[in-house]
Amino acid sequence: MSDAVQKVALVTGATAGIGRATALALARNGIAVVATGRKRDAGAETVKLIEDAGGRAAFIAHDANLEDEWIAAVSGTLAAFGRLDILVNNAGKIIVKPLDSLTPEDMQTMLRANLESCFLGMKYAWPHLKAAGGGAIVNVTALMGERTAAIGVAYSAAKAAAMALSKSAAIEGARDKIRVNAVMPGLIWSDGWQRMAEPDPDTTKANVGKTVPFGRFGETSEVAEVIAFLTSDAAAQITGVDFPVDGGKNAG
Amino acid sequence: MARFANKVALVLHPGTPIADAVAAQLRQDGATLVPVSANFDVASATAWEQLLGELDRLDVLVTIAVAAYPSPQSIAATSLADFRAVVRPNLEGAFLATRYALLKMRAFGNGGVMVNVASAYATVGAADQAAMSASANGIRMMTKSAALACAEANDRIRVNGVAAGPQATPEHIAKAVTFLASDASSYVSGFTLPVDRGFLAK
Repeated sequence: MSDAVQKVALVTGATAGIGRATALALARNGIAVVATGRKRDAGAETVKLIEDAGGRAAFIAHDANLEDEWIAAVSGTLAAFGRLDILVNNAGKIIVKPLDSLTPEDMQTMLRANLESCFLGMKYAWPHLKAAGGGAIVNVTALMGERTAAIGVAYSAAKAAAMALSKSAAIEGARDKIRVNAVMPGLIWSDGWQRMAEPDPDTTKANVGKTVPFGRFGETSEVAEVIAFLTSDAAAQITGVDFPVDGGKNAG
Repeated sequence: MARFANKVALVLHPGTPIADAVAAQLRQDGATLVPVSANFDVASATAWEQLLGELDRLDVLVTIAVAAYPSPQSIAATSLADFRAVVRPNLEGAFLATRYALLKMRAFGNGGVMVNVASAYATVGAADQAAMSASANGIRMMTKSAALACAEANDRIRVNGVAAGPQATPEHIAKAVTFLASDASSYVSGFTLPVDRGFLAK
């Protein structure tokens, strides 16, 4: 691949979990990756993992809820690697509370973290994807945006909105050769689960995993592989799709 | 290593553009293809028993619903025979394929993957292709049921589908099929992936 242009991806929330796994998967496919997030040490670790495997990466400290920081992250990406082809809006947040305990501030937090972050990322990445001759966006939503659970009403609503956002953007993107898809993870074992499940994470992993048709949690790498596929040329005719990665839960 | 090295794959309807593109991609990625005769009757249980009886391994099954009315016709103009001529190979064919492949895969004990290709008109109506549209949604729902049944049996068999849009090319359908048939989609089952240039998002 001597004179082939190296593609460039920006992955938010790439300091851990699905974001880090996605950054690694994209880098393995020869893509230069800008990993963003709020935690500098963890971001540096993601970059080191990619570089140790022979890939190219940079970290940009970035709060995906803030418009100014999106402008800086996108211009930082252009400064580092000269172009932008792929955007993965992975950063998000979850609040789990009964409806009558949810505050309007909680609702705002959910909408900012799970919906506005995707909007801002697409808005500021769009002109550069277009300038690159087309591009691919994946918004990481959640199976809970489609198949809701009793205690996550604000989270489910925000994720559902992010899927509608993705579909509308996909239609608009046809004109600019920009594809937009959503990936809906089901139960994925992450650092968050690990912390919540202390002091006995293995038991929680086994017990909660049984609620999935596959009988187990998914791994972050299993979501990352789907994101890597959707952002690749192999998926050139796939846009406006909500892709569940959930051990079969969407089927029932 | 090639992603289908040492895998045995069966792709229905050889000679049709989608089947040929899928088979070519599988072969390129290391799979061995089970020979299927061009006049194999997908809707005949006896034919399935014969075809699979000879196998000593099966890892990947790809069904393709290729039947449609030869030219568009409204429901009012459709005879029961016309309707059955589409639903039988598409839906009954996918059922038999799923059933016999499942029995074989379970007997071999290596797990496996199935991908059912049908039209994107599974979830939106097609005024002049009711049988094709209805059978496509039948296949989509059978895909979900089979996925759940396999998960329940813990037999390491995944079942997914591809919804081919009116402008999808065989090569890109093949790329989606082989992704769903590969280990890269190990936590995906029961899903029918549209390859449709945004047709269903509208």
